[in-house]
Amino acid sequence: MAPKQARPAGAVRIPFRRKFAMVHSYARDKIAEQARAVAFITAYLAVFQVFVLRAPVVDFLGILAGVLAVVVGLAFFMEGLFIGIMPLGERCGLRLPARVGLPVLAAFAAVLGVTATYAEPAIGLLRAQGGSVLPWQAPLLYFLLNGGAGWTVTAVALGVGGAVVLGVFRFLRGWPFKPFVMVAVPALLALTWFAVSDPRSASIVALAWDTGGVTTGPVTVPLVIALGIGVSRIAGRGSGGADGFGVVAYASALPVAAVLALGLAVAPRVGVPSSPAAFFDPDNRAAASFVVGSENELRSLARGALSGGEYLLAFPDASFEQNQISDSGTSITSETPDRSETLFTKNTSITKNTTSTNEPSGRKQTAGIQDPSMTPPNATAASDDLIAARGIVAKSTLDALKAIVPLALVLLAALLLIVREKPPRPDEIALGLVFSVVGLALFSVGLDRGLTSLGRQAGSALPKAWTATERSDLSVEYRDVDPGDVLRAALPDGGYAEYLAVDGKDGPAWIPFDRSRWNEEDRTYLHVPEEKPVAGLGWGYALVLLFAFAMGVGATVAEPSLNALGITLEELTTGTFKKSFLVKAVAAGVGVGMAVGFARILFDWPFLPLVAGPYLVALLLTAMSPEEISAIAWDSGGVTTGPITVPLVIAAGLGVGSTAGAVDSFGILALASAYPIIAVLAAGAFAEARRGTISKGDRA
Amino acid sequence: MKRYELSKITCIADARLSETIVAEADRLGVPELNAARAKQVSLREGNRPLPLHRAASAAEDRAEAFFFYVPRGAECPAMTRLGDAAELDVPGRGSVFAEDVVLLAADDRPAPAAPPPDDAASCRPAADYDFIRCIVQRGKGDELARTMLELGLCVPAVSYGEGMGLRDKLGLLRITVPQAKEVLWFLAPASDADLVMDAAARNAGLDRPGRGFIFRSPVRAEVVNTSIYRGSRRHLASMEQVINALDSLRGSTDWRRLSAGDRRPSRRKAERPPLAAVSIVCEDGAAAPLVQAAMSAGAGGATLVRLTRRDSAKPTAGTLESHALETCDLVVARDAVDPIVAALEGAGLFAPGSRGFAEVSAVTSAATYAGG
Repeated sequence: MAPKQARPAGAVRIPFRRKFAMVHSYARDKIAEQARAVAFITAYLAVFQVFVLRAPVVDFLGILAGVLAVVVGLAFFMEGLFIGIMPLGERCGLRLPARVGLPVLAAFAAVLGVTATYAEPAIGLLRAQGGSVLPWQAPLLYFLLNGGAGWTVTAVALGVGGAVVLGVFRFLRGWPFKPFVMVAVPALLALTWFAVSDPRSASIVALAWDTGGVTTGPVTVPLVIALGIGVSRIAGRGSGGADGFGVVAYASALPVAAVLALGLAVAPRVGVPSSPAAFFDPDNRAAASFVVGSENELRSLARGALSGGEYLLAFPDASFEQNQISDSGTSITSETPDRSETLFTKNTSITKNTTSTNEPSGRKQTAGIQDPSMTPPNATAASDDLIAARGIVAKSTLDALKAIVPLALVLLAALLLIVREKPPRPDEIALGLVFSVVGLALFSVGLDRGLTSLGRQAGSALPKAWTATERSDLSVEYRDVDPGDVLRAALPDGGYAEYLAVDGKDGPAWIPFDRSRWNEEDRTYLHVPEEKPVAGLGWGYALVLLFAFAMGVGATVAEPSLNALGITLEELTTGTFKKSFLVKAVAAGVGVGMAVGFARILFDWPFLPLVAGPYLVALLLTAMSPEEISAIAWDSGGVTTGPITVPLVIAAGLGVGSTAGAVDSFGILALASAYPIIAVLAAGAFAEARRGTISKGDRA
Repeated sequence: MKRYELSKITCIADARLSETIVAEADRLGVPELNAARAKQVSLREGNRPLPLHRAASAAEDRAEAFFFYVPRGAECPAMTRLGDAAELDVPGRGSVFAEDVVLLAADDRPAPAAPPPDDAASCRPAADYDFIRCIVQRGKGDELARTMLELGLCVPAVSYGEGMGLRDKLGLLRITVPQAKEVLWFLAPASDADLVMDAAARNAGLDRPGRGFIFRSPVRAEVVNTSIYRGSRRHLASMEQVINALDSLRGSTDWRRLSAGDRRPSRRKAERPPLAAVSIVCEDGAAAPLVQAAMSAGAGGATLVRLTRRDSAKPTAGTLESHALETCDLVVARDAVDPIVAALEGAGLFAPGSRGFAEVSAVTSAATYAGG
């Protein structure tokens, strides 16, 4: 044995076969890692749907292809994060503070935060979630999601920008993390209470809390963490622990405050929730126009919501409408879309292209408004499918480019123009950026075709857990039915149920006779068999909550930003804080949060106590926990709700919400962000207790 | 280029003691205190209710490896003061040791060494140890750490690093080669160092290509963390404390050596050329071209470990001086030191204004796959 041999400098030539083998084993490892992460949620959704809800998986091959795309896309994306985006972010954090003063640094951080928000527009997700909001039920909420969406995004962007600035300052000045939480969270809760106590703004609190979880996307989180690590390394503070954490928590909290503040500021201009007639009343015209954007919009909404008489009452000039030119100068099209169509086209920025998802047939429609993604497909010919697929690919690629290129440009500009230094290993960074774009595009295509599609199916089948379902696909028409043959069966309360004897498989069988389905003229009776709920009401609800819990756990395990956070944390703490530990704790927390969130929808629980409770517990635990674990815990609360969880929550939430009659399914994400904080703090305290002290009085 | 003959003091201690150590180094007048993130690994006795899985599990505690320089001869009081301040004599808290180095730095760079402590009299004797550094692929370190623990000599410290060398010659294909490494540090009594190193090399499979690298250098240790087993203490003193007391009574650790030491046939020893370690410490991101230069002058690969400058000074307004550094050790034949130092100088390590420096120390022996 001897010391390492000297090697000649310069490039090494490697034969092609060897190169291929290297790339192959590298790719295999990365893909296997993601496959393990995604396997659970996929298998779970499919098994739950098929075996528990007894609904078939539609478009199985398409979903399989989608899931494969998710796996490969995630592998590319994560690799891109680690060789491209994160080194770039860290280098900026390392170099900028040494070159520029605090004002420039703050400006850079603000630009980065704002860019991140515009690059990963979470508002689309929130809109989809609020797709069934009606302007008269929740005017302010409707405004913030539609006409005022630009304002909402701006508020969120300012919140995230402020968060990044605050984070950078904290690392440079060595400010502790806990005081921020101790001040910010009670302040947020107070603001929320203030908003709740005013009926005009009460509807938006769940939305506001959700923005906190949604804004921190899969590109923003790793980038902000990398930046924080860079800044705290150059500042040289902390005891070799998880410096660089805490910014994600700010970036989750400040947007909530910003949206709440926006809502409270706008609230005086909108009316209180009311009936459609009151909403469209001429006396309420100014406020209503403000809420929906324009008077034309108002008219088209009113056409769908009001009866003819009411409509004329609200708009006495309606008869001239056809040729009228509106105030804003746009002419009204000859065919004014009906209300529901308007709502759909306005509210479905992310789910628009997904009509190829087949709906399990015969779903009983109980809610007035249906999610567009759940409309049964028009006969989807293969060519239509191809066009739709192409559209999705193009849109996903565009979105991926939008998510990554502006952020990369901000970072590169800072490095090249301000620091005047080339990025480290430029070829690797470039490859990493390409990887992340390719990965993100592939990931979102696959998510849409695969996981989310599966989630939508399971979500729409979910009400079967506690409600009966009509199977119109199994309906049978009986001709020449004589109502005299109907058997009346007495009920204890004096009424009676009616049954019709039909020829069944094994001789005569009784089917329930529904007079509304009997056609008196041609004497036909349409029998639509009804499938019994999977379980009774209580057990059915329990089943839904169990579903929510496991879905939360499974989706969280696959979330890229949480995994990036975990890997970074493990690296920073030399493996003493394991990624698996963090992911498990967070997943359990998200699962509980989801279950509580769905329970809120099912039982119509008030939002404020549900969100205040866990946050107060988290505050209490934070007060007793060390700085470092606190920052990690609050950060993991922010990262949990990412691109995998959110669409699944929306899909399942809409399915449950529409059947349970909830106005919106907001709040699930906010709750899914709250419980992981408790979980991580508790797990950290447990690990610390197990570790024990280092005797003779710790000095840390 | 200025040349300083100094003693380098290394203190590997539990992260909960970091603030104490930073404060004490400040009181010692240390101008630059650098630290690498690490963990200390020990074994936790299984206390399960059933006597089935009695095997001890590994317990990992976050630690930091600090190092700074004092004039030759001043290391003993400095180590004693540091050890007393952090109460390192309590088992399980950390180790502190010193070695002789030659430090090379730019002419205009402030002197890197602390002034000699004023209370030179209060000084406990230090024992002869070997500081063994082993670099393995990420993920292989846990097993090696366990092997070292089971030898029962000291608590290993593990840090993370990045491999440099062959990887950078592959072009973009390099992303397929994992660069993450683990760096294990452990102290073994000089009389047992051969045995430990052989065991480590065998365990880590270092005789096969691409598996890693191990080398050791002589140090004088004031306190060695020997708290290998964690668990309830059943007696007035832990076994480690008893052993430490015997060590100081005997004046050395020879009485508890594992191997017959000098009587062992030292084959191969004569063939080996004398070795030295050239350690580069520079600003974060600056090491890559330096290592390239050193490699073209005859050095093998290197492993990069990130450092943080630790000081208790408050930040001043305006731009701030970077606290992010990195270091790597190049183990080379002693004849190759001069050309490598010249190459590093050519690459700008000792240019005016450079904050980096190089440190040359003796290496007793090293082992890796020798090529075939």
